[in-house]
Amino acid sequence: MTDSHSSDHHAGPGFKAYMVVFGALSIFTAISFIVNSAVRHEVLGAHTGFTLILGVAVIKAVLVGTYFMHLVVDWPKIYYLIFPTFILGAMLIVVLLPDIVLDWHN
Amino acid sequence: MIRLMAHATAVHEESILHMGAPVPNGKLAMWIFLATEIMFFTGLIGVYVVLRNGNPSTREPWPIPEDVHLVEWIGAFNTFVLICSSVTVVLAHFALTKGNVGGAVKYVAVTLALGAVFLVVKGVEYRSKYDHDILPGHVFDRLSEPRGTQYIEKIREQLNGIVARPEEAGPALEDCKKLLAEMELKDGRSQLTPQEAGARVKEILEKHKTVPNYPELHLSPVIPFGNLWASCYFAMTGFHALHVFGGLVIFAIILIMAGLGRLGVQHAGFLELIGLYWHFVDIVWIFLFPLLYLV
Repeated sequence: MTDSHSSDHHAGPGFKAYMVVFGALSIFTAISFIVNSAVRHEVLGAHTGFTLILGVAVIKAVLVGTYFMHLVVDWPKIYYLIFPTFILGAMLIVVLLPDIVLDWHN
Repeated sequence: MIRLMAHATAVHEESILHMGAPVPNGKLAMWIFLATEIMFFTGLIGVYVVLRNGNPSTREPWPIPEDVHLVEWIGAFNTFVLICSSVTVVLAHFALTKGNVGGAVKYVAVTLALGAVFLVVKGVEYRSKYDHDILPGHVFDRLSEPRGTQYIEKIREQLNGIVARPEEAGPALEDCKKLLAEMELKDGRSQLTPQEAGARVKEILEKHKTVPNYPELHLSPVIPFGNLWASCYFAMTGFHALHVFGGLVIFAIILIMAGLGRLGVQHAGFLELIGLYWHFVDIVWIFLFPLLYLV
């Protein structure tokens, strides 16, 4: 199989996009820290805080994957490698769920 | 006639099948590897989610960061450090594709430095756990025998140490002396049960948290699910730190190549691949940080 990658061609986001994403990631990190403080001080409920914090984590992961990992360009070419892992990952937790309700100590 | 020939050519081109994915071999291999790494960390994180939501109850809750000497802002700082390193590695690749080898080398060096900062901070955190004996198997999370007797012995040893250095004990000194007196052995047995001792230790620690600039008392509280927490914490962050270290080794190799004058524009693909690995390590920490430090 021939290697069709051209090393002198940068396909994907440019410098400005990278810096915008960096700024967004920094802001989202601060948001999750502030939400955590709000939960600790009982300004926000635990479940609301949990949802917001995990939601922020997912957004940050998507930003890193899309722009830094060039999935904005490569996703159609390799989605079939990554997508099954999401399904398997979710299934792994679902399969282990019965252990949550079993308390072996009592 | 020409239209017929063009049609025939088009049909001929449609029938040719191209084998393999439309990406370079290296990128395909790296993404396959990252898919396996996703499953690896999903296993660790999935087990943590199950354990955390399983047995803990209102009476015996999962440890909060304060119980296990976990400082949230340190985790947030480490998150920011890794995000910065992700930016610098992608800028390194961007520079190399533009032919700017010197700029790429500088960005790679900064990435290496930021990764090293992350590991140093992680080392400081691990040292804190070691100092407070929050290690798997060392935490007193249940006081059924023989752990109960071991707990009594440990607390008496710690109280003797506090009383022996009164200048370090601060306002807690009198409470510690009182507790030690109550834990004096009579006929080889403590007057307090392990559970009572644990409750008294908790009271002393709670009371002295309210004292401004209170000295840290080296008293081990009972931490329900503390051993499970420690196992999860060290397994997840330990494996992640190993992955960070692996990335740093590759960055060092790139810098050595640059130092020997062997790094060039032709290595942009290679740099992109290590960048993919590094971004994945960053994404794992993006999930580990809130799961361990925040929620």
